[in-house]
Amino acid sequence: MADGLPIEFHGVTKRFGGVTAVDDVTATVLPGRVTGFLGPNGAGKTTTLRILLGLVGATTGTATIGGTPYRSLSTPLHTVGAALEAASFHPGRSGRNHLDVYARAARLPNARIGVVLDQVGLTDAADRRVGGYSLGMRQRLGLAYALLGDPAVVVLDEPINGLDPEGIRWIRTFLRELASEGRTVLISSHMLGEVQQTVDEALIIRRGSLVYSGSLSELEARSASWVIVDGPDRPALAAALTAAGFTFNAGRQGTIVNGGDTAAVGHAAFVAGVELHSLHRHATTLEDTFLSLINDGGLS
Amino acid sequence: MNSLIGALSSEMRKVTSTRLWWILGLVVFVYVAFTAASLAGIAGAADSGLLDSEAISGQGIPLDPPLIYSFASSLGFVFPLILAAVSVTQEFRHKTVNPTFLATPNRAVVLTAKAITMFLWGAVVGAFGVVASVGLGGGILALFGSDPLLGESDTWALIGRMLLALALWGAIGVGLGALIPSQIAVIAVVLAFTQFVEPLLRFAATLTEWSAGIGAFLPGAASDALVGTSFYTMTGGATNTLDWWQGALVLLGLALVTGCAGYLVSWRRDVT
Repeated sequence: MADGLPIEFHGVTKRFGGVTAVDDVTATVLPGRVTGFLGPNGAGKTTTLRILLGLVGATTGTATIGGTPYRSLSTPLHTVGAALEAASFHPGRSGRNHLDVYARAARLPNARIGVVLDQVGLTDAADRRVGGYSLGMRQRLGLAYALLGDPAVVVLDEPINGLDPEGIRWIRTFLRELASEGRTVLISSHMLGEVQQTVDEALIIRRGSLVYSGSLSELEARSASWVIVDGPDRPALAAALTAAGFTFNAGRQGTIVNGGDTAAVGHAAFVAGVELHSLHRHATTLEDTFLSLINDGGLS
Repeated sequence: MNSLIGALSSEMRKVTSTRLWWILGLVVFVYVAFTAASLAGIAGAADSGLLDSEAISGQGIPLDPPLIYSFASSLGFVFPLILAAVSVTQEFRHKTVNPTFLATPNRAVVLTAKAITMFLWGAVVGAFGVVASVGLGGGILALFGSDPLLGESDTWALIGRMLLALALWGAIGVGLGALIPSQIAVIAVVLAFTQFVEPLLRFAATLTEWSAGIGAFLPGAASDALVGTSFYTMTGGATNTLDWWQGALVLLGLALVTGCAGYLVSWRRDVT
């Protein structure tokens, strides 16, 4: 394996006729971690990846791997392994022959075919025609193709789509291993929940524009939390909260205390001798934050 | 250069790892065998006096061995054309164009490798027809006691020119597939043109002197000129105005023109 290389997008824009599919995307994807490229269907993820891989030409801007555009790479499959769609196979060709066709094109040693088939657990089905494969097996074959050249960079479009729960667990571990070996791993998904446990970094795209670029934990930290507290004597409760220095406002189900935790709010009430009948914490999830990003295009 | 060698090896493997080449080979074998055997039977029967030979030559069709052998190309040329066109269109149909262009990002290299591969496979698929027309046709002639002319170097030169013509049709098919990337459309166009439009044009062209000169440049006429004899040239009474090498150049030119046009029309475009 070559050392991991950074992927860089510089002002990548793609217009199809009058429609702007990708709008001025600038981002860097670093080696050694799994980066999730997230956004709803039709947001421009696939087009951006296809521009990166030289299949679609950018209207303006550049996308490079280690500083080189895909089409100028001297050993493309050894540098970047990519799987774009689960259906990129001739149904009459066996899985092994599918890999053989491309191993020959990239002049890779024939032995790599057996290695990658083992890696994705497809050895037993390798000599059957791909037409009889399940969607999960096709995903694995696509992944085997991506790994054929033992690449420094792995780019996968919706790799989890169509996998069963066992397959999802398997690919999570697998992607994390690829990253821990120092490779650059970029995977796209339209569902945060699918990749939440796998990715370290996130690029979130909405209507062709990046709306977030950074670590997933940082995104998680943006989620808000509050405490909802209620008692029979609301004015007394309000006085107690004010005395303890909380900011709050009245809600239908009680008083909403910004920030803070249930222990501190409960203690303030206890000290003031105010009776409570409800005290609980409420927080937005990462999913809520993600949805608000892809729905209105920015964090409040 | 390295990428062309890899792409060639890859394209060859694409053909051998699927069934279409031998299915088409079998079809061309049966098709040509049936026609050549029937006509060899008639010719042989006439030669041996079983049939009134006046009745046959009265039709103006001299049923000599080269004419019977030439069915391998005059009927069979459509099969290399279809194999080659499908080799391109199925890349789009099954989206294998994605892994293909990822493995060989230089698309001109891929199209060149395809054209060379289909040049070779055109001859391979065409050879099924040659085996049918020469093997079966010649065998039946010999059975009736007629000379199949297999000892003549002219006959073997004819076989060589047929294989060259069939190979060139393979190269043309690649260009045509890139020009019309829809599989159904390209097969429909190939069948309509080769089985209907072109035979009509060739016949119409023979009606006047000046149009005959143009008609000689039609692809099927050029192919027959390259081979040296064919059913059409015999029945249509057309005088071949092209030499065999001119016929070869017309087909080669057609392969280059369709290939370049196909490259511009579909091959270099965005793969979405």
